[in-house]
Amino acid sequence: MSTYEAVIGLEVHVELATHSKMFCDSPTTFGAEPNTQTCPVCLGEPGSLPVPNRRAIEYLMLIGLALDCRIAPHSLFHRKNYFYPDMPKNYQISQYDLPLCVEGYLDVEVDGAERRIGITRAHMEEDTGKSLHVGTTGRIAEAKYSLIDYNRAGIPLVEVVSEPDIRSALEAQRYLTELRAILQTLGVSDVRMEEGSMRCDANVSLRAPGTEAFGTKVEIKNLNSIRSVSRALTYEIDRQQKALDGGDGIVQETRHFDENTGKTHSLRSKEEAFDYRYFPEPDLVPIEAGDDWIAEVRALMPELPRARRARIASEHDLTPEQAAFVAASPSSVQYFEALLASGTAARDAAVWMAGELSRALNEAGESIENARVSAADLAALIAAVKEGTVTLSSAKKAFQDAYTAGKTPLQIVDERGLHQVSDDGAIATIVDEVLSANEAEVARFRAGEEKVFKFLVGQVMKATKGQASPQVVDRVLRARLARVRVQEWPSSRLRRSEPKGSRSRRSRVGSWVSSRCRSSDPSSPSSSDRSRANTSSRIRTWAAPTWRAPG
Amino acid sequence: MTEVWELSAAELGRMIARKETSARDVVDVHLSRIEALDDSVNAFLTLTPDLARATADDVDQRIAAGEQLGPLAGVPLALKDILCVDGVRTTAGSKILEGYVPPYDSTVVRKLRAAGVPIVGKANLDEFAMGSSTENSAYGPSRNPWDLARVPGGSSGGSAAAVSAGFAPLGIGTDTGGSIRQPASLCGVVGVKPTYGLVSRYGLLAFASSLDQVGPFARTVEDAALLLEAIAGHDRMDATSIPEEVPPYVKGLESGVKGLRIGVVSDWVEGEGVQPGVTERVRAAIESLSSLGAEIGEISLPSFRYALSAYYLIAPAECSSNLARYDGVRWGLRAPEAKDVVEMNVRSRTAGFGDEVKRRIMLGTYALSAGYYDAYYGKAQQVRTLVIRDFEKAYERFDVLLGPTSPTTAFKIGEKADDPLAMYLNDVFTIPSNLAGAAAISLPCGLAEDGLPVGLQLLGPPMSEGLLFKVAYAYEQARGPVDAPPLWGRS
Amino acid sequence: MTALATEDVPPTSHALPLKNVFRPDEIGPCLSQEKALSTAPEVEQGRFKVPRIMEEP
Repeated sequence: MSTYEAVIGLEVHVELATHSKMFCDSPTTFGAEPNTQTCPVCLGEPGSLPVPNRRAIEYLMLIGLALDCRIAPHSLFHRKNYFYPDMPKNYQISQYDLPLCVEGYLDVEVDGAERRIGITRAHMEEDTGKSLHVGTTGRIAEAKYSLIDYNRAGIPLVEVVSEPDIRSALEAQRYLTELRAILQTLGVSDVRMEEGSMRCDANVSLRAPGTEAFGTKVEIKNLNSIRSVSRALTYEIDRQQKALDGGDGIVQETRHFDENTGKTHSLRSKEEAFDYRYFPEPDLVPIEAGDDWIAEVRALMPELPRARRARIASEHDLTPEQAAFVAASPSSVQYFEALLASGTAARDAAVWMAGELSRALNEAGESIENARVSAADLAALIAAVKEGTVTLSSAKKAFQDAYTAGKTPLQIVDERGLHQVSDDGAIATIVDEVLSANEAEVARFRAGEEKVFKFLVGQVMKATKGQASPQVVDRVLRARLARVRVQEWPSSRLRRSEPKGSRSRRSRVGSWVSSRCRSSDPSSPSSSDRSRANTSSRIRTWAAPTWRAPG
Repeated sequence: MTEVWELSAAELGRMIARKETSARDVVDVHLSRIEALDDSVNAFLTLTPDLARATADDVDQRIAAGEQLGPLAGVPLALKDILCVDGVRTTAGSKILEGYVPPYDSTVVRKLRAAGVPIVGKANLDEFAMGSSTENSAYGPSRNPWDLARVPGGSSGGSAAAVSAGFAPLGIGTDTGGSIRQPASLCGVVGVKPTYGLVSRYGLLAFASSLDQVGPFARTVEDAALLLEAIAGHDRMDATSIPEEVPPYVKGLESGVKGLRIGVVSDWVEGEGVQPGVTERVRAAIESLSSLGAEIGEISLPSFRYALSAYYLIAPAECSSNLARYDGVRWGLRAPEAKDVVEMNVRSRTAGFGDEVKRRIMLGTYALSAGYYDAYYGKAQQVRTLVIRDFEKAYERFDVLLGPTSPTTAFKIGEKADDPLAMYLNDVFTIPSNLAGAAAISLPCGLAEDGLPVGLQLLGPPMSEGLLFKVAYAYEQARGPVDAPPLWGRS
Repeated sequence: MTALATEDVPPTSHALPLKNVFRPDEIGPCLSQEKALSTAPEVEQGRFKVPRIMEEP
């Protein structure tokens, strides 16, 4: 099998977050009742005329400047002619040979190395309506008829076309992630791939490494997430490689990516490539972006993700990976800064954001601006871990539960009794239980097998569901193992040696006990039972976290 | 005694304002004349008596309440059926728009409503304004009030015929390659093709967007000037609308032509195919202007011989795209029982469009095709540049240019219907102004040897309407009243 | 026309000397759903109904 080099170019369509549409004053609201966000212009009503939205042009210019494009001093709209029922005029107003933004680039990091991906152009166009295919399966090919909603028709769309500089699915993923971060930072789009406000088509071909000529190109459509792009490219590169190895060659065609199977299949051959009969849009006049206007727009440029990452990393002494997460978007920086303002150390803030917060957001499919745990509440949880009142593992669990339950993590800690237990007496009781249940191991330890100690610690931690302070367990266990008869050790002496301030912790344990009981099933020991607690009941109490609160 | 329908718009406006008559009566008189005679003229596709009477009643009430209205308040108008009126059937002379009722007003209609102008009906036209005779209307041709066997010209033939026949003192047409001026010439009325961008195109069903312009018909220069004042002006709904104040055209009408330099386009006046009677009447008009103190010179415009070819690439190219929206999806004719949407599109368009429209769509589609664009559309756009340059050079020497509007007087219905090229030659003198986006006016300059009206065309640079009106008015006054068409003898 | 030498002649797509015509990003009134659909040959579920679409755009 020969190895080939993949040559990938991406075309990304981005719906701009303007108030009104590209060429009329209808709103861009997502999800409204069908055909209620239209006017004669976006319906393509006979006689209606387009007038461009100035803000949309400025957003495009901002995108171009962020991608280091040259802003063309003279730019035109063209008509792209083809019949399709979701396009009211049967032509799309777009830009052809005189786009507003040309010759830019985007640097992305792949495997620690910097890759520069050229941007051919970024231009302005308008979106189409949406078709609903009515039939047994909802698939276009099997539909009986279709229903069209023009609410989306005319929403400003920017197309960013990359040079064929991308060499792998991973690079494509990095490019899209970075592009999305830039667009988000510019505030020009919602960039929600699942809602279609950011869409991607990919052109892929293979060639022998070291050769300049391009292989036969295939265009892949229906890439609805960055993950889909990556999956589709991985599949397609493999497919083309096999086809070339098998001597079949590649057909120039458009292929459709199927989310369910992870495969691409042929839509149509490019042989019948469509002639769009572009010509200058006679209803519109040229755009001439003079230096003053460009300077005015440039002044609106926020700090871009790359600069932001570098600044955050150096200001807070973070690793590049941590900085990448913290600085992913303006909202994530805001969250980070709110954590710092609540007293969290930068490193801890970064670790939590890149770890638990990121995981929770991914699972919920949400973005950080909608994070259900506020920075202040997360800061309080991190503080509790620092103080030692909650163990790290409990805190993580509390955070994830809080996220799904819509409560604060500390509420969860209180409700579920996840406070760290540093009460020597309580821990000593468990240690005693563990030692008597593992006499053989105790003997081995005493015979000099030091590694058994670790096992015993594990047993204690297991019995306490991870809520015991590891330091206290260590200390108590060593002390107990040093005695001949475990049971002889009076627990009162341990209490006397408690550090100052432990009273409050004890009282928290008390509150844990009562709340645990309230939320436990009726067959569990009541709090009055608990007040007469003996060793065995305590053990049952430790085991309590395995009880499930009803609901 | 002069009938109400014979009066000028200016006169009717004055009488209504002075309550010597009511807008309602004026509208009713015109409506009954239409009812009596339009069967033979076929100037209208749709009559809008309710709309006209409602506007008239509103005007009368406001005048009764002491309101000061515009000079055309209550004066009836025939609107070319290619401009949208909210709630009124609009056909563009095509079967493809069968049943189409636009949900909005064109800007011109909005302005007419604001001026209190009652719209009595929607006037016939060549399908989508493509033609020079109204014979391309899917609803039958209009007839020329001078001779009902002849065409009124086109494409705005219905509006021109209506004004000529005394159905309304005012008309609105559109001019893409001569569609106001040529029918004005053939019907013996005044027609103005304003500067591109002077009148909003919003709500005008597009034929060729870079050439289309809305303009007035009237029987006098003053009336045409009044109507242009009412409909012109910047419109934020049209990106190609000129953002300037409209000067008061009527105010400057009487300032005369003394010392004005008028350039006679020599190859037009005595060019090949120009009817001798046309040449003779235009020469007489030149004499008249000369005696009024204008300086007359001659000029030849070499690029103009390519203008017709360039026009017949640019206009079809734009139309092939503009007419794509008539596909049976959202409005108009839909072919029944198609197995899929493509078949529905094809069958609806095949059934809905007439031959001339199909011819131009195909021509335009071809001209824009990859591999042909540079040779056809691109080249045509370069010719356009040359035409503009020739005009600019001409206006260094002259204030206005002069020639006939049309090489011939009105021809017989059917005479050129099967010969598109002969038909296209009707527009040979009018097309250059459209390519240049410039202003031009056609006004009657007497009858030719065949007893039919001849049109005198005055051409000026963009935004020269005031100047053109002034010259036209001076000539009109010197010329004196023109003969009325035979139809005026009937009621 | 084909014979005409036009190498150095720029094309005119528009006789109008205008540039940079824009509208502000402001929302205006929409057509009601009923009015938007009023011209349609066929309507279903508040949408324009068409025969089946065989191909992706």
